[in-house]
Amino acid sequence: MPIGAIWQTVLETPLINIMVALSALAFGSYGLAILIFTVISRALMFPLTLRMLHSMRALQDIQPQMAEIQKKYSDPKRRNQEVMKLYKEAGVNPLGCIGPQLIQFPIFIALYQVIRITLGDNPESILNLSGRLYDVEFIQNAVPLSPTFLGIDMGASGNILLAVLTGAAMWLQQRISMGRTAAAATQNAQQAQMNQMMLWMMPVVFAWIVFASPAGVGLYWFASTAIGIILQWIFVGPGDFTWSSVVPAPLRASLGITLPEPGTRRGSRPPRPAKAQTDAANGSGTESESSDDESNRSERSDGRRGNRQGSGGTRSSSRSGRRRRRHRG
Amino acid sequence: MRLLPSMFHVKHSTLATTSDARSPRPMFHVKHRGVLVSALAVFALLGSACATIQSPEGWAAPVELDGEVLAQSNKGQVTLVDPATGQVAWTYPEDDSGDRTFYATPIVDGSSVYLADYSGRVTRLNVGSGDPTQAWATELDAPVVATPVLDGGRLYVPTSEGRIAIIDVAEGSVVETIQTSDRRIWGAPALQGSTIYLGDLDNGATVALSTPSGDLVWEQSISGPTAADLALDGDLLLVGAFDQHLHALEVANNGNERWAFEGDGWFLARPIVQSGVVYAATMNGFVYAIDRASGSEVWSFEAEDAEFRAAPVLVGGNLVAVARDGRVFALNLSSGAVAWEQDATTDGNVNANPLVIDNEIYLVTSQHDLVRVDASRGGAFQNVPLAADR
Repeated sequence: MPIGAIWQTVLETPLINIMVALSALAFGSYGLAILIFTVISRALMFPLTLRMLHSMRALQDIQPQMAEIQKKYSDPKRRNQEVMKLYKEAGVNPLGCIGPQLIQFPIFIALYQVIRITLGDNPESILNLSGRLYDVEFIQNAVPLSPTFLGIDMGASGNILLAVLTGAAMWLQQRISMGRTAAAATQNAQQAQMNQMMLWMMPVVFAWIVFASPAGVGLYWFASTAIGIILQWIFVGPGDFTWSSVVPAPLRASLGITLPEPGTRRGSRPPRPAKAQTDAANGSGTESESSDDESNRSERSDGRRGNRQGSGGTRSSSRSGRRRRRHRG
Repeated sequence: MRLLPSMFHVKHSTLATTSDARSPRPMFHVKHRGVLVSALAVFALLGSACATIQSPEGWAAPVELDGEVLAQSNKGQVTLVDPATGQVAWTYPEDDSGDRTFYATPIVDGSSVYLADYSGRVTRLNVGSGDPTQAWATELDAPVVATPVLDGGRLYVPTSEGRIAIIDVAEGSVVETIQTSDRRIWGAPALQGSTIYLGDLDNGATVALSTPSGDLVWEQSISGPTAADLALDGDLLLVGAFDQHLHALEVANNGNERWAFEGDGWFLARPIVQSGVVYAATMNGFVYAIDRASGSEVWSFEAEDAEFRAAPVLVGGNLVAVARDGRVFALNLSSGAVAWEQDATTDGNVNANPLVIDNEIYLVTSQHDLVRVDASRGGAFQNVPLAADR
């Protein structure tokens, strides 16, 4: 079976029928159907999203140790080994956040196509839709779909409002994420510059894509991003992000608004001095096998990974303990 | 797509901490940075490619003009061709008109041809002296899908924004505009006497308007919207709808529904009436013969995996139905048995109503190919080139 046919049968056609059915359930409103679909898809992906958020938080928590490793090891190979070891100890999979993306990406592409098929801007699209609908009276009778939602044609491209909203939402999410990690990480100038570039480039690129896409895609994107921000805020916290930081610096100065000190984290407990970090700091500061062994021994002696903090600590500690037992065996 | 930025920020802000000035060989984060930036670029390109809106192709039916066939030969272009020799008489306009594609079938009235395109331009051509000359062109600022109706000196042009422009065919000026609502009108209206009948795609209502005033005579809410050309047979108005019903309305009785025949699939093809029997086809591959008086089924025929958007036609004593995929079915009028079947598959779909000249059926595909099907020879077919360079 060609991959195109698999794509259509497994994802695209079911999604077409789901959207048509949701539209019928949502009083014929396709925009409302998109919002319902967004909530449902995010709910279905919530376990994965939660795991990703926990992973993000764990990564945030080990930033002090990461910084210590930076200082301690000059050999890149050895440094990588130590970082990987730290990940393993913390139970962090740095690629873990890709999981939800891998699932969401094809859904997004399929939704893009589905919106174009169901709300195509030319008369042929309604003919092509016929062959894609299941032979269910409820679904068949839902066509033709009403493309207008809040005065916006969901099938038409070029909606500036949705593009701006999506760009702003993505910027906010990016800003929250960067603010949180930047507070804990020791970043060099190049890294900070890169982050700044990403902070602006991503929202601009995505806003442009939304602008060039059917408005329904933009609505999904915006709603999904908004849900993501809410989840991130609830489960990870806003980091050092404050709404006053959104205000341009000159205006901030004229209004007398002050920003919190860099490194101040909100929504989570402040980092505690980590055991491993302390050990590393108490060492010679030079790269040696003995310092590494000492660090490992100190972890084993107290039976837990002492550099964890925050809400995820208990679970990660037990994970870490299991790993150590396997390692010993 | 919220996760993409997360992916970026996590990798960059955490893993990137290994890439300070002391690190000649950065960890995998830098490698991933390149991958991620590349992925972003690919994604942007993908988005750009996907964002290209597929342009409409049009489904204007071919028409006969002085024994020759006038058909849409390209987007926004019509060509007059001698079907016997394949010789092209003329093409109008000579240059490619881009988005001015035709859904509305051209109307031939003596030596005049009226064209209404999807961009909303209505044109009158004089074709009496060889090459066509434009008498006038009027912009309506609304897409035209439904075939207009010509009534004496006035052309009634329904638009996709619910308006009906009444154009003086002598001057080309819009005499009056009737605003029905914001309903899309895709099906060709029917005209009888001084009343015009319209169905709409959005509200599922059929209306009768008096001409030229535009006053509402009656409005009948049927259960489904329509995109099919309306068919009028005596006092019965036949409306094929998305609700999988063919509705028969009594025009003289305020549009009262005499019967509604439930079929399998959407009725998007214009029905025809012959000897007290209504023939209609659906997008689910069914062709029905329905008793005109009672609305009961006489026979039905199912073509597997077929979709019928083109109106069935009567040729050589058979009912001929053309599926979108190019299959042609000739059915016995009284039994529905297959008299002959031909697969005239070409590139594109057959969405346009066929043209019948004698025993020959002319089909235009969505790729603007003209196909001639000979009903007297079991459906033997051949392509007729519509342009010298094609």
